[in-house]
Amino acid sequence: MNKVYVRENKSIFTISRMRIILLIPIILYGLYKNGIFLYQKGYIDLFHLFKPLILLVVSIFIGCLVNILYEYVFKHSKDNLKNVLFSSFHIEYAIILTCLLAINTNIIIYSIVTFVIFMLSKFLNNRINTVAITFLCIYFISLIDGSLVFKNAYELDKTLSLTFFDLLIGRGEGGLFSTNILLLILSIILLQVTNNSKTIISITTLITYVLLVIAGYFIFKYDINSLLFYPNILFALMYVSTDSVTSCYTEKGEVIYAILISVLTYIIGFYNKTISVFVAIAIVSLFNSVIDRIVLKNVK
Amino acid sequence: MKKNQEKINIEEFLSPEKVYIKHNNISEVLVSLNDQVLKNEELIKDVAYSPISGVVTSINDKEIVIANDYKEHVSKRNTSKKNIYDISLDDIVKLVNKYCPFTIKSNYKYLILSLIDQDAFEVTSKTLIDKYIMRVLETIDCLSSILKIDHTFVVVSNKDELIVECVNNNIGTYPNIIVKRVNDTYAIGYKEVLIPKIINRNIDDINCLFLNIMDVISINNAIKNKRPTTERFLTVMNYNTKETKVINCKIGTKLEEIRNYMEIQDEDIIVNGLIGGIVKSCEDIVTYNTRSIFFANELKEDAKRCINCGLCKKLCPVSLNPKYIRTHKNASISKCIGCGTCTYICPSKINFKPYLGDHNE
Repeated sequence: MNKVYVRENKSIFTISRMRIILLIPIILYGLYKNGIFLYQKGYIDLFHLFKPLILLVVSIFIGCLVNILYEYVFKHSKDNLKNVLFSSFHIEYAIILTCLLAINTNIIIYSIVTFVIFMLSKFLNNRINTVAITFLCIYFISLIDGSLVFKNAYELDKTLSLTFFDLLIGRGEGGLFSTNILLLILSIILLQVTNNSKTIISITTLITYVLLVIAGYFIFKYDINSLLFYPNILFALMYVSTDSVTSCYTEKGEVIYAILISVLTYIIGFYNKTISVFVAIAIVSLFNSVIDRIVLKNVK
Repeated sequence: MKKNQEKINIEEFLSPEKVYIKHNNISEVLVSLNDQVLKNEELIKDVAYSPISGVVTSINDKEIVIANDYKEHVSKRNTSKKNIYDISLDDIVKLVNKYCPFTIKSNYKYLILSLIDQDAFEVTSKTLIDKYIMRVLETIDCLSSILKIDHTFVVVSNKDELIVECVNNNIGTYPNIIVKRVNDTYAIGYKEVLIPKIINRNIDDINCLFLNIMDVISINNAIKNKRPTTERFLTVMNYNTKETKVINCKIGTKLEEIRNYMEIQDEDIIVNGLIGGIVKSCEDIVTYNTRSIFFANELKEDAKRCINCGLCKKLCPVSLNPKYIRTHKNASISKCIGCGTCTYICPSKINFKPYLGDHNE
C-alpha cells in the first residue's frame, strides 16, 4: 500500500547535468588557455591543441562505459540507457577529474587508471571520494616517468608576474580546466541558487582555507597568492569535496567535514601541496558517516 | 509542486446507489433491516446520520447499508432560527459534538482556520472559499466570541491569490480575526507544521482549535440548522489527463461509484493526496476524513543507491531523518505526519513510505 505516484523532477541526471553545465565556461576557458592560445603562439602542435579535448572525451567515455558495464553486465539492470548512464555520478566525476589533470598527463595511463578506479568504486559503493583517489593514483603512477607539470608551454617559457586578479581569472598555473576561480565561484553561487550541490561545503572549505592562508601570512609570512592559487587546491576544495555520495549529509556534519578538509589540506601542504587537497578529501570522506553519526547522536 | 490557479466549478454527486455507514458498535444502532430512513435521520446514536433517504438493506457488526430511493425526504428538526451569536457556550459545544464528526471543548486559547489545502494537488479550499467565505468568517467569529478564544487566525498561503483576495475583501467586518499569510511550501497545510509556525511554540503545548473550511461548514450546519454532516466536498483528479473537479458527495459513497462518475477504468485510487495519500480499493467508501481522491498509475522506477544528498532530512517538515530511519529499524517515527515529502523529493527514487508507517485515515 506504499506506492509512489508522483515525484519531483530532481534526479541524479538533473543534478549531474546542472553541475556539468556550470563547468562548461570553466572548461572553455581552459581549452583556450591550454590549447588555442598556445597553438596561436606556436608553442604546441595540432595534437596538443586537441589534447585537452581528447582527455575530456576519453573521460566521458570511461564514465559512460563504467556505468553501462556495471549496470547491464554485473547488475543485469533492465533500465533504459539514460537511467543507466546516470545511475551514479561517474560521468560528472570523469569531467571533474579532467579539469584537474596536468597538461603532460599520459592519456593511456590516465584511461587505464581511471577505468580501474571507477569500476572499483562502483563495487565498493563509493566509500571514498572517487575523484580524489583517482587523481592520487594518476599522480603516483606518473612519478615513474617524471612528474606532472601544471605549467603549460607558455608559462614554462616565460617568467610571469601575476597579480591577485590575474590569478583569480585563471592566468596562473594549474590543471587543464581548473584555473579560473572567478568562474568557479560563479558556478558555486548558481549551484546554491538551483539547490544542486552541497554548497555549504564549498563555502565552508573556501572560507576556512582562506582564513588559514591569511593566518599563515601573518604568523609565518607565507605568500598568500602562492598558497591560495596553488594548482587545483581551490577547485578541489569547492568542487571535488562536494561529491554528494562521499560527503556528510547533516548540516553540522557538512560544516565539520569542510573544516577538516581545509585544515588537513593546509597541514599536508607543508609536505606536498600538489596532493594535499586530494589526500585530505580522501581521508575525510572515509569518515563522513562517522561524522554524521556523531552529529546525530549529539542532536538527540 | 505547481498549484493550478484556474477556477474550478463545484459539481454535485449526491445520488449514489447505496451508502455504507461504518460503525463499530451494533448496540448503538437505531435502525433495523428494511426500515425506511429519511435523510439526516440518526442511524447510530450521536455518531452517524443517514446521508440519503431510502431503505436499510443490510446491517452487520461493521456497517449499515442504505439503498437510495432518490427522493431525498428529509428528517424534520427544530432548526434554530435565532442569531448564532445568541447561542450559549454549552449549546454550541453540545451541538457540535452531536452533529459534527469531531468534538470540541469549551476552553481554547487559539483558534486557527487553515485555508491551505494539505496536499499540493488538492484544490478544495480554493474552490469553496468564494461561495462560503461569509458563512465561514461568521462562524469562526461566533466561535471565537462565544468560546472566549484569545487569538483567532485565518491562515492563507501567499501563493493562493484567489483565497488571499477573497479573505481580504471580506475580513473587514471581523476585527477579532487576524489574517496570517504563510509562504507556500509543501506540507504547510498539515496542522503539525502550521500551528507551530503561526504560534511559534511546540504543538503539544498549545491549546488550539484547528479547523479547515469543511470543519467550519459542518459547525455552521450544526449550530445554525441542527443538521448533521452527511456530505463532503472532495478534490477528484484524473492525474493522467490532469482533469480536476471538486465534487460534493455523500459520506458513505463507494469509491467505485466516483470512479465510474469520472469515467476512469484501471487506474489506482489514491485517497488524501498524491504525495502523502494512500491507495484504497474501489470497495472503500468516502468518510469525513476523505479530502481528495486521485486516479493515477504507479510510477515504476528502480530505486538507486542513496546518494547521501540529505534532501529528505533537510526538507522534512517535522525534522525527522528519513535516511536514518530507513536503515535503523528501532528509530522513532512517532513524529512523522505522513506528508510524503521525503519520497517525493528523493533524487535516487527511494520510497521511504514503507519505513514510516501509514498515517492517513
